[in-house]
Amino acid sequence: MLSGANSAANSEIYNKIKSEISSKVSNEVSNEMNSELSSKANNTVKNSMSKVTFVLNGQAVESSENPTKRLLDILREDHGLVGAKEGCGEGECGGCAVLLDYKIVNSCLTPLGSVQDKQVITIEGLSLSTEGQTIKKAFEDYGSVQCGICTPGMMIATASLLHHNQKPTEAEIREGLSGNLCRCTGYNMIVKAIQYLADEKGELWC
Amino acid sequence: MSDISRSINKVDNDEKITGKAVYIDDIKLENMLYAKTVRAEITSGTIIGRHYPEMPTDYHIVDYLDIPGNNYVKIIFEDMPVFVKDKVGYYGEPIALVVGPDKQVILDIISQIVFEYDAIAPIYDYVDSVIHYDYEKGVGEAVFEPANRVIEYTYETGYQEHVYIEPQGVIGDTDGDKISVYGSIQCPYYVKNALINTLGMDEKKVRVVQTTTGGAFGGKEEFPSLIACQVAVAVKKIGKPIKLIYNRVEDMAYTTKRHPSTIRMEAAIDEQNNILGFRAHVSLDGGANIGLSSVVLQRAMIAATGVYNINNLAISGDVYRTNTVPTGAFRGFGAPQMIFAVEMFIHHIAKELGIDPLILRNKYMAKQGDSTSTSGHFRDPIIMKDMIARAKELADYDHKIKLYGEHMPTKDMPGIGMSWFLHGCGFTGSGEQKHIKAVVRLHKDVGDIVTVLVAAVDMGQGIKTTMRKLVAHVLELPIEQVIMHNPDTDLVPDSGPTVASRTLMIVGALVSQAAEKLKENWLAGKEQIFEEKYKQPKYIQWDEESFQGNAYPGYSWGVNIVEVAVSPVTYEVTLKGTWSVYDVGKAIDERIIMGQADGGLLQGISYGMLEVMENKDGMVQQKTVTDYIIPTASDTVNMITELMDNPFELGPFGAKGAGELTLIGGAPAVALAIENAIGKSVTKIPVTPEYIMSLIEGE
Repeated sequence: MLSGANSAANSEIYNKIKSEISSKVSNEVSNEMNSELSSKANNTVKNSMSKVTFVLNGQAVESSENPTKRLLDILREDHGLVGAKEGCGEGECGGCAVLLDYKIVNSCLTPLGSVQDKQVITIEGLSLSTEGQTIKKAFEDYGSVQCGICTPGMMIATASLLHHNQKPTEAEIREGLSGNLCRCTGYNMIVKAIQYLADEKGELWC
Repeated sequence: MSDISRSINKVDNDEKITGKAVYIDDIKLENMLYAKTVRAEITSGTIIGRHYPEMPTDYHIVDYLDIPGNNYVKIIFEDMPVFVKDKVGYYGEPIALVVGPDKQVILDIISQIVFEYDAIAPIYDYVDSVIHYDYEKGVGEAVFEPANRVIEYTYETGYQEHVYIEPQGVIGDTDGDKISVYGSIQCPYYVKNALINTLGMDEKKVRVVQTTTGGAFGGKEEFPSLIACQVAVAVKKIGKPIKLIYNRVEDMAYTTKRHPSTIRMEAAIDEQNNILGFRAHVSLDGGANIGLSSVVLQRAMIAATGVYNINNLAISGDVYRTNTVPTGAFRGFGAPQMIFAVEMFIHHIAKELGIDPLILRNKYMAKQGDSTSTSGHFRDPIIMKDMIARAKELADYDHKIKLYGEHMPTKDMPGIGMSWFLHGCGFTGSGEQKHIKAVVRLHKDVGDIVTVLVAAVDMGQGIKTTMRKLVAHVLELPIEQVIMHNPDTDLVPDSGPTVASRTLMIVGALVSQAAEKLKENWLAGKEQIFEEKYKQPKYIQWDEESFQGNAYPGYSWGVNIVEVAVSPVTYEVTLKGTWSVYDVGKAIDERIIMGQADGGLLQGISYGMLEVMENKDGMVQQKTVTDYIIPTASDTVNMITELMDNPFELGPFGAKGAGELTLIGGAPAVALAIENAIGKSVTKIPVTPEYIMSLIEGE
């Protein structure tokens, strides 16, 4: 389903988003994150060999935690990025979804070690980008949000889908959302928001 | 003034979309400890010995010995212990909490705890009735004496699990004097009253605050009172903030679910094929604790005629205690079970009599002025005729039902089904007046900012948007000038629980009245407070003992048409289309109602065909979202919905309830569609491929 990806174009878009995010993030959360990180780093000199470095919402970060630890816990506990939610803990509900090199993954099933040298974007990062803002507006206009617990994951799924397939059919949209459970909306208004994005905002993704 | 139904951007869209909204598990307090539940490992019996390991520093066991007040969760029926003292009623019943700073150490401690039990034979059958009701209408039972013929069918419905994507969770905190509980909850004052009872503390020393709630559907109506009491007892003992969050397995195995039911329906038929009356018996599986099952049973029994006008009734029902996880509130609250039974039954009667079901249904469809099942009256206009015509037109129903009814052997067996249903809005009978006594308040500050002070929670249904919209509309103010926060019992009066499709119709009406008073007495730049209290409309006369009178102040109505295709090879059912028309009085925000309609219908359809939860030897077998299947976007189709205005005199701007209504017709509509596809009578939900196979091949 996501086979239409063009890696050169992807990395270009990625860089664009990355720079957008990083300029905004630096004003908002990065100071807090950096100070947390550095204090963490000072406290855990235990094994410099196992340090994992990756790019989180446009900022280079490193972690000395056990590489088998779940990315979800690293994000929520170490970085205060609580937009990713734990709904099931077994990769079924998509509440914890993040973008890993601009492809959706469930962070509850992603070991920290597997993100070495990769780019991680959470809902906090995505929502600062032009893409994120555009998806947000569509979600608002189409009534895609009810209780909101699945919404960050749905935003991530939408970004991942449209990034790899600018003109998805309804079936492809449904397939693209099928790793994210929602119990409130019946998916109808989320699908419609994405159809609108595909029809009217295609230039953002290609 | 613009039409109030015109949709606006929901007030909580921004924080929810960007991940900033704070749910219970997102909160971390200083020095906060974690709690985990220690559970019974038998289904029925008595604890005769407890062996707790020696506790490391800063780790604690909290059990029944630590409860300062009453060891039961104050709901309606006082039979659910906060912690088991000796008698175990179901597998997994909570016995204690282990509390401490490190989750792994807590698990290690729990693995060392040993209980000795004296087990007794558990009960799983419907034999131990703990609640019984019966009522009659017209000549009641006697109508069966002159009957030419009696048609009898028995219907069965299974468990339904809420699967809110945010599991249950609470945090307790204390300043040494007062205890505060934060949580993902529907009913702040239910929790508060339970805390007062269990902590034995003055009401001023207990506070409950709702955090952004990630779905509830009834699952966070009474259940959170249990874990709030447990955590509050622990906080009182230990004196530190404590967080208890269920994982998905705990949530699915040990929290309340929709009551499984067995419903026997009998119709007395005369020589001219008229329906003289119904006799029905409803059996509900209450699980080990009765909780609020009595109220669920009442609603199921009152729904015994669905949308039809049947003159003579003899209706009875029982809640049975079994050694299984307690069942409880779930969107629809007894009505989905009964409406499934009634809608199937009217079709099965037609089949037995050789009459077109549509002709039979139209003949008995209730009209304004007709009597209700409880001998009250449908006072307000009923526009079902128009709604049915519109739904049929949207779905091309008349054409399809003829075509599909032929049961031609095609690749896929197509089928279409149509359900008609109603939902009584608000508490049953005099519940609002006798038990709830809602109070609402509006506060205007010196800057002329108006705050809506109610205990109603936004759990996704958009009440923060619609309440603000109501008040802004009455006061002719921009919505930004009207505020509503998540309820905090220190700040809001008890406007009642967020249940029973009552929030807009009952609470919203009071808020709207308060806004009218504020408007009349508006003093710019001055602080003003206006309060309203619920007064029961005079026409509501209700006798709780005999089930006689107007059971509800008003009714919302709906029509669902569902089309499916059944594979002749695997008997899998594929959803092909849904078309719905609803009368919710007047939508306060059309897009919000459309969202309720989509989500409610899908929950109803999947209750009818997909969601299987079984209990084996007292244990829930489907404990993860891998095993308990709810629909994904790929299982779903574009759902078509229209609303028809039919303003309700007592609702704000004419609004009636909408939250539960939209779930109720899904199961019968999909079951009828499958029945149409396979040409066999469906009497049980969920209609799984295995069940379809037994219907087709079992002959």
